[in-house]
Amino acid sequence: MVTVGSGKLEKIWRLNLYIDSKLKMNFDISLFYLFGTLALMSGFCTIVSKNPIHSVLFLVFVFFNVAGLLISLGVEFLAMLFLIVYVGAVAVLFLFVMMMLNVKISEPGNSIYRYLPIGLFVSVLFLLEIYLIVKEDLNSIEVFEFNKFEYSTFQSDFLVNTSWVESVMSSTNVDVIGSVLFTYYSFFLIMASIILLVAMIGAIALTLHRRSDVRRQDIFKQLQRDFEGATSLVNKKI
Amino acid sequence: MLLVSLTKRFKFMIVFLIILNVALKSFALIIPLLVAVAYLTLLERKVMASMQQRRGPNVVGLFGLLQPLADGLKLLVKETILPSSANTVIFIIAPIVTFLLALLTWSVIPFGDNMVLIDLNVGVLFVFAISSLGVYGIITAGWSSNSKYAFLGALRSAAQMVSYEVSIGLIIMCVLLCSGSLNLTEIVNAQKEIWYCVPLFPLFLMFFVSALAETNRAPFDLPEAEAELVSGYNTEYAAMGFALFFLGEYANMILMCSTINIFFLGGWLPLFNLTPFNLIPGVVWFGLKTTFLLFVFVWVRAAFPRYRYDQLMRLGWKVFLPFSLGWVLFISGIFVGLDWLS
Repeated sequence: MVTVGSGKLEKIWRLNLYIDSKLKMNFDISLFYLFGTLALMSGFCTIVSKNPIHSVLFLVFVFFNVAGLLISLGVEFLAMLFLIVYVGAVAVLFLFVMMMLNVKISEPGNSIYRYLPIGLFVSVLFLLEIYLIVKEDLNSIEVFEFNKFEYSTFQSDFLVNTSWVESVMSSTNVDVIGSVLFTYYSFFLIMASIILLVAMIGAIALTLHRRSDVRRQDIFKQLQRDFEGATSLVNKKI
Repeated sequence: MLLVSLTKRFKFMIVFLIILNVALKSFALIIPLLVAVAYLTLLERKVMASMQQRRGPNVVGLFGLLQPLADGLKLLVKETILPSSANTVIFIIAPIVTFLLALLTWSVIPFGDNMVLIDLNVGVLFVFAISSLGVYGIITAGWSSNSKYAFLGALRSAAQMVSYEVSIGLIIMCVLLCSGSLNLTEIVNAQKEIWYCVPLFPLFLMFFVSALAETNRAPFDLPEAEAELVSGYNTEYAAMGFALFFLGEYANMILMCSTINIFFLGGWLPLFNLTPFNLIPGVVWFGLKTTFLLFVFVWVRAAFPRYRYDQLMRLGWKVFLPFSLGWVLFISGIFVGLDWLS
């Protein structure tokens, strides 16, 4: 496409590239700050607000912003799952129950100070854990070498069909997550599904007591009724 | 250096142009959508009227063609009423949320080959996620109105939408197994050989019925059963609030029909890949199929009586859920067994 004497074109092209990268970076960073700030603020409001319904709605907003953060990190599949599972199902049921219970507005008081020690303890613990994880990740140049070695042995010895670099470079993150989840972590996947199954069966078993004094409808029987079956001649003496 | 200074000088101009581009694209999508919603209401009234041997709206404009505009104007100039014991902020936000969510999903719907605003890799999940968020507008509207009718309507609606989303998700999973992609454009392109409504016909019917339930349409319009609940969750809303709910509901209807079209009726693909059908542009095919589905929506409303609530729940949980779950297993079994998974 680029012909002789197209120095001007090239300049414009470079300008475009420059602007693109600059704008994109600025845009990404500002989106990150926007979502991060909103998530933190609404997380704070979730705790502070006195009306429990408002708390749940703020919690939904936290989920939203975290999904936005995930999208800006490029893991759109996880973001969508986050929206579907947490916002679309869990928080709806939460809100549902809250509204039905008709919880009164909680009184402000010194109850905050009662929970302060345990809250501090938990948050310090959490911070420590995060620090340990991040520390592991940050000084990991040697570890990375080791990992690469480990991955290659894994691939040659145990797995048939994974080339990490290629799968990361070429496919969408649905493919990547799927191929990891069903090969390396299949055991954990099955464990998680068994736990869910047990919870489901437990919920069904809790509600499965049939009272004998309740009249029930048998839909199949109702649909089977027709004119001939519903009416009959009675031989009655008058 | 020159380039940098140039960039700095035109920076705001460039940002402005980018924003203008996005805004124009969005408006090019939203305005036809609103017109479509307006004329969908007219179509509904006309079709219902002719099925019940009436004339329907025929006074305002030629054949009543200006009736939706008159209705819209009426809603616009009416007084907005805020109930004194309502939770005002949520009361105002709820219809806006419903309307915005109804518009948001349209950004990933492809109308033709490469005619899509955002070609998202996880388009199906996006549609599913946003349509599952639609519950929030309704449930918060019902709660914030502080009225028993509105609250009962909202509870019914939330339970109904959550229940039918489960089977919709499983049916979508079957379609995804067949097409092998989460991208809506690729799902349509995968139907070039045969539309999915032929091999997956039971799923097509179930998806259609679930779409009826998901959009709170007759025969599943229990959330606004006017005989029991006045008007359901939007009882306390007047003027613009009501108009936004109305627009959101009908935009969702068109959206559901478009997704049925994309998943099962081949989107913009022609009926047969032969010369007279090929010449018609894909957008027209998309519109024709979606309009047909919308007509069936109205037809169902005119033909069937309303379900009872326990029957509705039974249909969702005890009929559709096991059946669609079985289909997921069946289809993946076939795919694994015949080694069709690429």
